[in-house]
Amino acid sequence: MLVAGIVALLVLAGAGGLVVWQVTKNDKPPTTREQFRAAVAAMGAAEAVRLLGAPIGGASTDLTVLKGGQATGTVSLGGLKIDVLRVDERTYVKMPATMLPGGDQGDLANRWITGGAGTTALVAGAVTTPAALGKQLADAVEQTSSFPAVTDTVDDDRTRAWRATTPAGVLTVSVDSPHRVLRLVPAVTAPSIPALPSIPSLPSFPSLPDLTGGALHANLAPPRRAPAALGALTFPAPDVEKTYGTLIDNARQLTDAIDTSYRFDLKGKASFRGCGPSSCTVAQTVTNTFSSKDVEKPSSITVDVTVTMTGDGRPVGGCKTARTVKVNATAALSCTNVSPAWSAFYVRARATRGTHIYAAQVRVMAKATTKATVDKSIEQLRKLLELYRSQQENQPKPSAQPSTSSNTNKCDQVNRTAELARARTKGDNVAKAYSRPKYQGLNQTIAILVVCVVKDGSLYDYAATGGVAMQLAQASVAQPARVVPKVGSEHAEPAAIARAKADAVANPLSPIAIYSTNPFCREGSADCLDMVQQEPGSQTVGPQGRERLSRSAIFNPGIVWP
Amino acid sequence: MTSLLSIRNELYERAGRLSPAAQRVLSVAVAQRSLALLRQSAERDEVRRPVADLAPEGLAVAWAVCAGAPAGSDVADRLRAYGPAGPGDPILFDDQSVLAFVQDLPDLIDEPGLYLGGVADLMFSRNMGDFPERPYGSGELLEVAAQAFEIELLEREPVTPELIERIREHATAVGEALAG
Repeated sequence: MLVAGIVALLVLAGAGGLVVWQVTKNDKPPTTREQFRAAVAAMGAAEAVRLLGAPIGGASTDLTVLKGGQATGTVSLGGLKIDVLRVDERTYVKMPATMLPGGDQGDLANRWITGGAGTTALVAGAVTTPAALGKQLADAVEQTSSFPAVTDTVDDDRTRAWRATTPAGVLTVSVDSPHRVLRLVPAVTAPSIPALPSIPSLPSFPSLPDLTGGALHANLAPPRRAPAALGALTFPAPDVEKTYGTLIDNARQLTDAIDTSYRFDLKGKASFRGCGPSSCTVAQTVTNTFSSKDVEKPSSITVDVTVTMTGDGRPVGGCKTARTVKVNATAALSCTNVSPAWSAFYVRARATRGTHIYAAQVRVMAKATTKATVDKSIEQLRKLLELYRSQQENQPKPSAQPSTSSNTNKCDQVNRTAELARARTKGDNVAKAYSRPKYQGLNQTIAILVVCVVKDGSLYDYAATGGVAMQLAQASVAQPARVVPKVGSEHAEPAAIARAKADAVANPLSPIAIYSTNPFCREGSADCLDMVQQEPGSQTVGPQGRERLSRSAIFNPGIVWP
Repeated sequence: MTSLLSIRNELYERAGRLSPAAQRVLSVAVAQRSLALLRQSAERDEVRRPVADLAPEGLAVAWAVCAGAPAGSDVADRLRAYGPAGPGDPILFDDQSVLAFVQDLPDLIDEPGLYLGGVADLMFSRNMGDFPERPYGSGELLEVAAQAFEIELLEREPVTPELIERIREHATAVGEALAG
């Protein structure tokens, strides 16, 4: 029986080989252009992308970036690991003490740091969303003229794959469907896509605030840019749930994060007030200067003030306090030392003849965020995780690409241009109903998202705001519409899209068009990302760029949420 | 059934027929009612604390101006300095109570105006979920009732220091009740 079975198997294998041979002999072999297109489209639409590589000069990266831009992972350098965290469009790094100048090890080691032009800015360049990476690779694929034949496979780390040379580099995608991008070996020179891939240059130390007139001047090497040759980037399947968990855990630590976007200049010497046996108050005038080009200048910041005192050259305690100060302004800060060490020194000094000198060292650091903001960020991440889980539960066979269905015919036939025009009129009317018309553009963004119910082809709108929440009169003007309650710092368009996707879990929806009024782009803010453009299947129409006054997009037919 | 919005609109129409001086008193009263709400908001998010610290001074100047005194202070400019730079400014996250102080109040110190939406809109947004941990169900109605009372006072009586003081005390008490 065993012998007979083996013979039968060999015969079948031979027959299969014969079929393939006949096809390839008589026809021009089909190329894999469509498979490469599918793979990069899947990457662009993915919930997350994991970037793994040893790109440059001994530095390696392992970053997972969610489609919303949140990221977590590490950049390793010479055996030392820098933790990376990106939430709320800000990138934070955490470095071991050995990577910091001696004077700052206590203040900055193993603490999240953001701002400045050093490591944070360089690492921020490594955080590329799936949509951005997918789009860059899609552009590269479109510029490629030669693709391997279907039969021209290679072994890529024990996975059957195709490999093509694109302007971005040598791209490897999986043969198994759904096709996935497995690897990119960047081109040595890729003039058409110089920013791809956005992997970090060799990190330098952060630009530290000059705290005490030079005491914290770091002896930093200037940032070294990456050499032209870049190593391979691989894209293992990300663990999205785990990534959310890590993001939430790390975000909790941000209440202690430091922002190095500020330079602090101490004015004059610290002065002492009311120093007696129970306490001693130290006052210091401090000017702060905001220097970051990566984030918008806030109106105020919270600073940590740390005072360390000595009496007769020995430590006599100190104090810590947090204060809110205006940015680019001078503020008087004070802190009161009530430690037993101070009391003991004071009593001893009063009882001992001679001169007793006491001194204080004041250190000031800008806090990167507030507890309230951190709480909101965590809440937002939890909601996104819940949304992701619900989408997974309702998609037993998840696909990284937007799903399409033949049942969307009615929705596919909707006049998208007309619906966009209607959304624009409604959005502008809602904006006009704002109670502070003089400040409307400064305070608020309105987004109107038009969706189509797949099961019956009916249309309805979502109305969302960024900045100030929707007012009663505005909600009235927006009718008929589902008014999206504002959540934290969420912008108008993502809020509308997220709500529609959540509703679509129970009742599938096909997005038609979205319009938003004058948003935060005018200021040339780093916030001004093309959030709508990152939505799979959307095509931005109308004015674009940072100076545009409004944004709008039409979604391709055939897209079904969730 | 008459909607809250239609009641508000009718009141705003009546307020629009008052003298500029009376409109200013009415609007400063709205800001006065926002003070306790702003303090509450600043406790949640310290980025709003500097505005809460400065607001009483701004209100004192605004009431004095209502009574005919010159502004004589740069408090309007100092309040404006905390204004949002755009819809993404953290000072607007979750709550908009600062706007009565960084936009409405400085404008009212500079010249008479009619800004009545502050507290009512704030109550509406808090009911919509900005402050999920506590109910503000009837807050919007209380604010509208307070405005109706003050509009009727200003329709009946000329703007005098005594009337201004009565409205100020009334607004302060209602503001505390709204935040309580």
